[in-house]
Amino acid sequence: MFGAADFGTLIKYFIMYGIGFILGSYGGLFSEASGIINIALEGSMVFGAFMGLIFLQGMNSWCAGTFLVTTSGGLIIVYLLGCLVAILAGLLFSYLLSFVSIKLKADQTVVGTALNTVAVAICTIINTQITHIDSPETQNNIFSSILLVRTGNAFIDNAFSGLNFSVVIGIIAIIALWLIMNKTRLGLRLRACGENPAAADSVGINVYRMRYVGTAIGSSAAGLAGFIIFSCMPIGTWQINALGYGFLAIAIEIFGNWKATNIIYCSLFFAFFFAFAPTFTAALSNLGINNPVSGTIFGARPFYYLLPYLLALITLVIFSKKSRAPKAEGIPYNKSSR
Amino acid sequence: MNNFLNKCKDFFRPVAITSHSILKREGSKNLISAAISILLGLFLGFIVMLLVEPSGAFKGLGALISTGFSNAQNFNRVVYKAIPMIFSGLSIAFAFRLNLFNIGITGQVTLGAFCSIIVGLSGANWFICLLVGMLSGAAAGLICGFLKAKFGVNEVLSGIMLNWVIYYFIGLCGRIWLPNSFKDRIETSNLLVMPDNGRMPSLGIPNMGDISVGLIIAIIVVAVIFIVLNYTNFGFELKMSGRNKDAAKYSGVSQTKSIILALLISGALAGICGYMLYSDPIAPSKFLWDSGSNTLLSDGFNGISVSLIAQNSPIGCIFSSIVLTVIDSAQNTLSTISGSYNVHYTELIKSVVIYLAALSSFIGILYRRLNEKIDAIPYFSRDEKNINSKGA
Repeated sequence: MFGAADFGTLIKYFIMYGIGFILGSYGGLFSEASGIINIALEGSMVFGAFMGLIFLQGMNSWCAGTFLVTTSGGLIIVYLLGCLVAILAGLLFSYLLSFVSIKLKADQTVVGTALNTVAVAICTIINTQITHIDSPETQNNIFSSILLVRTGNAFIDNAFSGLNFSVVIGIIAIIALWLIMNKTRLGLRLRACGENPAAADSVGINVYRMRYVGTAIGSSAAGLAGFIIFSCMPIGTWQINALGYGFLAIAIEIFGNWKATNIIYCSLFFAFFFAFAPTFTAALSNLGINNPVSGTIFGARPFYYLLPYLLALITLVIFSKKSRAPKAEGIPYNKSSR
Repeated sequence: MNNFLNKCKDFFRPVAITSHSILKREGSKNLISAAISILLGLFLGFIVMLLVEPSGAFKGLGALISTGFSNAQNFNRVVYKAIPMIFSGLSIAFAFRLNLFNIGITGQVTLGAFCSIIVGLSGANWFICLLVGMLSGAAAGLICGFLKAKFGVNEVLSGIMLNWVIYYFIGLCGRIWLPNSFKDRIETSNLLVMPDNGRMPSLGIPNMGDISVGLIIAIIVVAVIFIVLNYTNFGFELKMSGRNKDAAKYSGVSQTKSIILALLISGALAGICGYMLYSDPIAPSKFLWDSGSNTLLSDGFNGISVSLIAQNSPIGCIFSSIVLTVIDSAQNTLSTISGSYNVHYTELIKSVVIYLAALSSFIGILYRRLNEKIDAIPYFSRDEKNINSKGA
């Protein structure tokens, strides 16, 4: 019933969501570790994904027929540039949050909430200016016809067609971010600024700069995450909307207890269910009349989507006592109050 | 002549002093920073329109401000859209008193709407539906509050999780347990419609049939919340716990009780919002129990915006939700002015307004400095010595 092809599709979604969720929650981790609550992850994802996809679309029309779109080496370059565009977009977007919450000491939750709608509004307006279509949609299946893998093996075909080179960059980014957070001076300084900014300041760390850096890295990671998820989506058009993955990233980050390694496990947990739900129910409905669970809750797709959230809530209740957030999170740092 | 001027100055002095002392209050500071953010938001929208299509920009700005009030039908629409937003704004504002960010409001709104429609379809009258909506929202809020108070689970996290649990649970209900007779057959079957018996009774104002008993309920609830927050022990305890948790604990305020009650009431208000969204007396919106695209209702998040612009003041929620719906109502008019203005301009303006509203603390600092400068002018001071010297 769950054949090699289905298993391949499952793996594909697992890779796509897994990398997207890890990067997204690292985005939250980096800014919260430095002391800025980033509710605007959803907005960063939308902005990064939109800019990257628009760039791909532009490359497709301007460079039609050149080696960039016809050879696989060229495609790798295009996707590499697309990732860079998404990262830069996230970086730019982060200043909308960090400037007002560090310099002007605004309420970070409020700014983040507003930015989520700002991102969607800006993207839809840019989109209508570029594409001249009134509906807020943008194509994302531009290169998919070239990227189809055909080896004859159903498992490999399904697992790797549709994924693009941005996945590799995503994996590199995850490793780099993990190293930065756990093994470098920068990571230690970031965490110090989130834990006790006054103490960090007293030993000569520039708290404001660290917070700018933390938010910038965070938003760029989220932008890349958005680009990876939505450029690998099999749907032809993308309503400019991050489908709540940004909020899920925040949840995963809290669930992972603000620890870079735990976040990886938690992301993979959610990614598994997000990959399992559509493939398993599709396989079930292919059975038709032989479907043993038809009409019960085990045959309905929402049940499998509901499961990870419910399990996560239960886990949280069990392990809740150990949970701890960065202490200075959400409090604007005031040098004069030290 | 000089004498006359001095007399004028003396005559207006009490007025100046009182108006200055009114402007110095916290409330007027909030009002002014909200007004500044709204004006700047509109200005930015105007600039964007000017860049895109200069010829229609002034017309567009006019439309943004006036469409909501241009005729009875538009005003009707503004009021009936604003009422559920008032409730969602109140819900967020109430939890914010305790520094709780009730992001689970989306789930509470959805659950309230779903349960009240189900009860309405089973034949209950509007008041029962309202109660059921309120109670189901409160139940969802209670879960968040209980998890926060007893297990220390971050309310943002449990809220986000519960939003999706409720969303998929309703999808599951619709697929498996919901009888087919409940489903709306006119369009696709994943829609539910509140029947006549469950809709709010209209107040019967000519040309404004959508203005219903909901308006009266909204005014009463705002008044009650205002009194509870500002003039009762419970409200004071909430405020104290929000400002300084440890001091509140030390003076004997139970944190568990405050957290659970705050989120319970917040959820109840969100539940009422859910009921009102789908029970308009004339043409109620249809409730989508399975959108197929995994998107949550945006109405809960609108409540966050309402409350933010109102600086978490219950009475401010009325005005901020009206401002947002007035901007919203200009959507169609804008696209008739010029083809290049699309419906997303109103979204942009709204989000800029919210973004600027977050800067209220910054505006507050500037405002305080201005007030200190005015205080330094002897004319505005209530100093005894000045009054004596004047009398002499």
